[in-house]
Amino acid sequence: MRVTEGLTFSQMRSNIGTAQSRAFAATEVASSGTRVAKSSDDPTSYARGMVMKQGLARLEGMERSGTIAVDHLTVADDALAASEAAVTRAREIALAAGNTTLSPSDRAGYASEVAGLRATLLQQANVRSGDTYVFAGGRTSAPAYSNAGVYAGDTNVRVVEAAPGDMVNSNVPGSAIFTPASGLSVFDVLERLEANLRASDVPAITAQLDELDTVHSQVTVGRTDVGLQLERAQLASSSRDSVRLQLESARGAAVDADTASSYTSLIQAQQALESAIAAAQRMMQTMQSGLGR
Amino acid sequence: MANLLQSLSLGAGAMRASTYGSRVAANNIANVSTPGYSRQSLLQSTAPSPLLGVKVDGVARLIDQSIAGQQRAQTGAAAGSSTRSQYARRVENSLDVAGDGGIAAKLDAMFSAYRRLSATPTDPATRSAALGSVADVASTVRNTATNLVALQRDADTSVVAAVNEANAVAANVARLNGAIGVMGQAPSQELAQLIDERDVALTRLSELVGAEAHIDERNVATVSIGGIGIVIGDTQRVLKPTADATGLRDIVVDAPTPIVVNDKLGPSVARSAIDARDVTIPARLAELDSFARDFATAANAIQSTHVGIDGSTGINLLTTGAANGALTLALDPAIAGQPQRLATSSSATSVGDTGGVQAFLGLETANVASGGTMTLQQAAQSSITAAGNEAARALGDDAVEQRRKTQLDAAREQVSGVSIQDEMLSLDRYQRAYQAAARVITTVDEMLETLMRM
Repeated sequence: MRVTEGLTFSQMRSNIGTAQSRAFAATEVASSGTRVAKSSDDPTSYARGMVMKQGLARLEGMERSGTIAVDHLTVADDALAASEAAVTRAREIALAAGNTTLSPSDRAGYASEVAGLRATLLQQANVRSGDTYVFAGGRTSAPAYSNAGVYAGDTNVRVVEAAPGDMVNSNVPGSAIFTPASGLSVFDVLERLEANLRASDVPAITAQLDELDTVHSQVTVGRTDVGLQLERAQLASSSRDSVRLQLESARGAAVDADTASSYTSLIQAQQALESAIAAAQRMMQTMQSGLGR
Repeated sequence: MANLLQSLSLGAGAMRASTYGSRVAANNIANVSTPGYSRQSLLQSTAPSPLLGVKVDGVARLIDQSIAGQQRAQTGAAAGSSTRSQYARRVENSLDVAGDGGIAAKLDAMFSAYRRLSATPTDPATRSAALGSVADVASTVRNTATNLVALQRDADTSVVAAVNEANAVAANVARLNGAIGVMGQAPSQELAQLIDERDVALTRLSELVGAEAHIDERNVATVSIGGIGIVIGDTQRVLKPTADATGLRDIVVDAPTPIVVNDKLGPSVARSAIDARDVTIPARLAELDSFARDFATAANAIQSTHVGIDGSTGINLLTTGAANGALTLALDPAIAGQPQRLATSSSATSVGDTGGVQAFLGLETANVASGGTMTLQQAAQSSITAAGNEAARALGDDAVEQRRKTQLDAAREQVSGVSIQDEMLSLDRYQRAYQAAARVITTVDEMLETLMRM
């Protein structure tokens, strides 16, 4: 084989160029931690990574909506707990006011307390999570109830996917709890109780105990319903975490670089580059000494 | 006496040959890094009786025509594969600018925004974000298509630039052919230089338009594209870039009737640019157009049959032109800037529910793209995968073609390349020969002087 200077230089350039390219690629992989940055790096792995990324994006969306659902349901649950306590207190008052030894002024005092309880119930029924009136159904931008206790919302239930395949109701319309069509209006019951207390009408007060049991039951059932949805929404969080772990692991296997092997590759590539440069320098020295003779 | 005088003549001839040889070696050294230079060698032989001594027959150009022909063709193939891989990478980058999935990533963001909307369908900020995410997908599709069209125009410009340069180079080949023909076949440094220059031009023609060259016994080259001669002797046929109905330029040769030679070009810059312009990029654009139409159709079907929180219904979400759908995909003017019209509810009697949102989220898993065979994300991802596969193939092919070229360059260099060591040895040899010849003349001179004194 006839070796010329041109051939030698060309070979040196090619070797150094190849070593430089490999070192550059190895540096990129080691520094970014990504083995497949573009589809052309490995189309199949990239496509698989994209599917996993899409799954992660879906999870992120579910997390956002799931978090909002938890927020709304937590506010609703707290409001219903307060409502339940208010109705319980109203029943206690009705029971106490039925005692014939009490004077009308005593009952008037109870009436004022019942008026306060009704106001509390109205306040809880119009409670907000952020800007959302949680008991207003789909009409979330306006209070669910007027001061007269008339429902201004609708019966819409917002369903969110809190985890893959796990659909959760993020609200319970107030009309199903405070003013159900097949039940009693909690506001009307308390309004009547207040009137009966002011009138010191003991038989009427006593007769309202059944009504108070009914509205208590309505609120309790509503709270149970909200609690169940809240529990599902909270459990969805761990379900999402589990799926996220699987997706991130699969995505990592598809596109991420193995730290140990990428670092080893980087060292090998750097050594190869240094060797190529050293060999070129030695060759240059040899050629120079040949010309000097 | 006569013999002594003849010896003087032999010495003088030997000195002339050595001088010529030194000149050839010096010329080789001077051109050690000249591209396309073929090393030269002094042709010398014994002069015929009765004179004897040495005579210079000329200067040989050391080259293997078979290797040179393969190297020329391979240079075109390597230039073509390099151009193809560049366009393939640029197409891939157009579809996936940040390496984050391009349109597919925007679709993910859109569905994520709709998921949030499912929890707070009446919240103005959330509605605005959801509508914005749809506009974001549309603008990404539009920008991607615009980039691809720009890339197509860029490829067209590359074709024209390659053709224009090829015409100039072909004119030079014709001129050099004429000069070579005039000089005849006697080997000389001047002829070698002309042939070197012509061969460099032939290689460039191979790179630019994949032209093939046939060199006859008179060293005259005939250059052709797909059998159609573009340089015959000292005559050139000009390649004409001619706009077709779409405004893109075909390469036409008047031979003698005009012939489009786009598909006759050998592997080259122009051929790869034409393939990118006419095949690869249109394929991706067609996929984008199809995606844009499918997306608009599916989204509009949901938007127009559901109800916004302002009670509006029957309006479209997206608009797209009949042709070039991707370039015109945009929010429908009836909904742009009016997020309250986003159809999130099932019906006019249930404004505030999330029936429309859930229906829209159903698009995430519905096969509404590519003739009902893929989801929107799969269709978007499929384009990136196709572009990635093409780029990976092109890069792999390019690596092979560049290696082949390196091998053939090395093979040519072994035969035609200049070795300074060899030339230094030649110089040394010619110097010694010159000194010896001078010594002959000195000796003969002394002998003649002795003879004259007798």
